[in-house]
Amino acid sequence: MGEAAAPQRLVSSYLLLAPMLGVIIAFLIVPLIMVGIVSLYRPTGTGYVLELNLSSYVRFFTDPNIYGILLSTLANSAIVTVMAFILAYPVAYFLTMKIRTFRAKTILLIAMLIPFWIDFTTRALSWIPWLGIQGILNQVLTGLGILREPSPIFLFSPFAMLLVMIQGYTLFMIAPIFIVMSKIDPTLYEAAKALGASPLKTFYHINLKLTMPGIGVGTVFVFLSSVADFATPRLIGGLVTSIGQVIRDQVVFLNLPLASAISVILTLIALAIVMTVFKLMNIRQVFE
Amino acid sequence: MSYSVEAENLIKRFGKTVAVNNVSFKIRKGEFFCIIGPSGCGKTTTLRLVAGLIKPDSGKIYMNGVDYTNIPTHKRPLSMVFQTWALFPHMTVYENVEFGLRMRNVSEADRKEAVKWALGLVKMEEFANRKPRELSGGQQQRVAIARALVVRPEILLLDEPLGNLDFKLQLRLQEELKQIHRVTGVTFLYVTHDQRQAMALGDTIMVMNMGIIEQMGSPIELYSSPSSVFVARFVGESNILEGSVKAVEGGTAIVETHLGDFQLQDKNVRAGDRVWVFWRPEDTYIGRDAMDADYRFNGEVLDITTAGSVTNYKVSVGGQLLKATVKGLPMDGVESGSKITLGCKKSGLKLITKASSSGLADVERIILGE
Repeated sequence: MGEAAAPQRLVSSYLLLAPMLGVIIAFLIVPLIMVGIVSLYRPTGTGYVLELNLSSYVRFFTDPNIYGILLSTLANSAIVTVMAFILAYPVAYFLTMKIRTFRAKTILLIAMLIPFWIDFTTRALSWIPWLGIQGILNQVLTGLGILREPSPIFLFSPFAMLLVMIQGYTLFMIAPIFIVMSKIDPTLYEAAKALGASPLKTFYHINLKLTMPGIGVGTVFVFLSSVADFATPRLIGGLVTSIGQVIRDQVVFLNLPLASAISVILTLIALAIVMTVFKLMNIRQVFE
Repeated sequence: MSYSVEAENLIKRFGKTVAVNNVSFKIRKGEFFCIIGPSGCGKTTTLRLVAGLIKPDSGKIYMNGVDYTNIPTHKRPLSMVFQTWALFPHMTVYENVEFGLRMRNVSEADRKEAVKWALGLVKMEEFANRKPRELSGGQQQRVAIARALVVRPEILLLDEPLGNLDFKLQLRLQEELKQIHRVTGVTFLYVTHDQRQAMALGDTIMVMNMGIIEQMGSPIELYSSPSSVFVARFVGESNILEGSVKAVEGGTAIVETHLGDFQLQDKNVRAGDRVWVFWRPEDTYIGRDAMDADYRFNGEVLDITTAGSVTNYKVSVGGQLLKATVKGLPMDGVESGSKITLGCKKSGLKLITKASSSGLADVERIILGE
C-alpha cells in the first residue's frame, strides 16, 4: 500500500501541471520549433520552398541594415537597463531602509503602480503633450532662456523612445531589488559597522553585494522587455527602427525564413544574456 | 587605573519610555563585564550605546580615556558578536573572518596569518571554505567570535551570544569563551538575560532593571549580599520573608514576619520600616540538621528534585514557600506530603531593605517578564 502510494502521488502531481504544460507546449515550444525549421527554408521573394539551407542566416550576418539594427536595439536596451537601475536602486533602498511600517511600504508600492493602470500605448502617447514642439518641456526651456526656440528633438526621436521605455520599465527593476533587499537581515549592517566598515563600505559589501540577485532579475526583465518592445519605437521613436520592426517588415514582405532566422538569433542572444546575468549576479542565492 | 570603557550618566529614550536612565559604569582593561537583567531592562540598549549603534540622549562614553560619544561605530576600538551571529551569507567562513581586517587595510599576508590564528582559537580551521549556511549554530557562533576577535579589538561586545544555542552547547561554548578571554586578554562586555552565564563568566556583573542599575559587583557580592529583593530573586535561588522592623536595639533589628520574629544586625533601619529577611536555599537546614538551627519552622514537603550531588526541597510553611538545597541524595522516608522541620542560622540571614532600586515593587512580574 505504502509503496504503491508514492508513484501514484507523483502521477497526480504531474496531472496538476498538465494544463499549464499543455499550454506551454502548444503555444511556446511548438511555435519555437516551427520558427526554427522555417528559418532554414529557402526564401523565393514571394514565399519559400521546402529546401533546407542557411541563406537567411548568411543574409543576417552580411546585411548591415539587419544586424546593425539588432546592435542598435541591444545598445538602446542597455541604456534603458542602466538608467532603470540608476533610478530604481535609490527607490528600493529608500523603501527598504527608510520606510519602517509595512503599511507605508504598501501605500508607496501601490502609488508606483498607478501609472500601470493605464494601457501601455496610452501611457506612451500621453508623453506627447509634454515633449511636443508646443509641449511643456519646450515651453519651460524657452521660458527659462535655455533654448532660443522650441526644439523638435524631444518627440518622435531616440530621446523620446528611451524616456518612455525607462518610465515604463523602471518598476520592473524596483520590484525585484526591493524584494531581495528586504530579505537582508539588518543586523548584517551593524555587524559590518562593528567590524570597522564605513557607511560606504557597508553599503558596497553588504547592501549592494547581497542585492545582486535582485539586480540580476531586474536587469533581465528590463533588458528583455526593451529588446522585445515593438510599439514604443513605432509610436514615439520617430525614425528609430527596432529589431522587432525588422522582423515584422520581413513578415509583411513574405520573407518568413529571414523573419524566422532573426527571431532565432534574437532568442539565442536573449538566452545568453539571461544566463550570463544570472551567473554573474549569483542568482542561486535567491533560492537558498 | 586605565579603563576600557567609562560610561557617564547615559540616558536613552525611545518615545516615552526611558530605556536607559542615567547609567554610569566603568570597565577595567581585560575585565569580563556582564550586564544582566530581564527583557526590556535596558541591557541591550546599553550595549548598543557603547557600540555606537545608537546615540545617547545625554551622557558620555569614554574608551581608554578618550571621548567616543560622538564617534561612529566603525571608528570605535571594538567589535561585536550578535545573538543571531550575523555572519555574511555571501562570504565563506574565511572571508567573514577576513572582513574586519580588509576594512582596516591589513596586507594580504598579515590577513592570512591573522585569520588562521582566529580560526584556530575557535577550532574552526577546517571549515574555512564553507559558507555560513553549511554550519551548525554552534559553529556559526564560533566563526562570529573569530571574526570579532581577529581585528584585536580593545573591547569585545557580546549580545546574548549563546541565546540561540541548546543548553549543553551553551555550557561548552561558555567554557571556551572563558578560555578565549584568558588567552587574548581582551575586555569583554557581555549581555545576557541568563544569570547562570553571568555568574560563571563575569568578573563584574551589572544587574539592570527598568533602565537603571540595580546592583553592580562581583558574582560573590551579588550572590551573598543582594541589595534588593529584585537582585536576590534574579541572581540564584532564594528564600525571602517580608516583614517589618518592630524595634532596633543596639544595632540589632527585630523583624516581625508571619513566620515569627528574626534578629538581624543592621544599623540603618528604623522601627516601622518595611524589610525582607533573606537567605539562600543552601543555608537552610532540614530534618535532623535543623535541630541546632537558630530558627525552626514546621512545614510540609511540596516537591523534591535531585541532581544526585545535591537535592532541592520545596516546603510549604504556613503557606510560605521555602527552599532548601542539601548535599547528597534525598533523605530516606521523606517524600511529597511529608511533615518536616526546616531551620536557618543567624549567620546565614541578610536583611534587605528595598524591593527594587527602580522603586517598582512588583518584582515577580518583572523577573518572569510578564
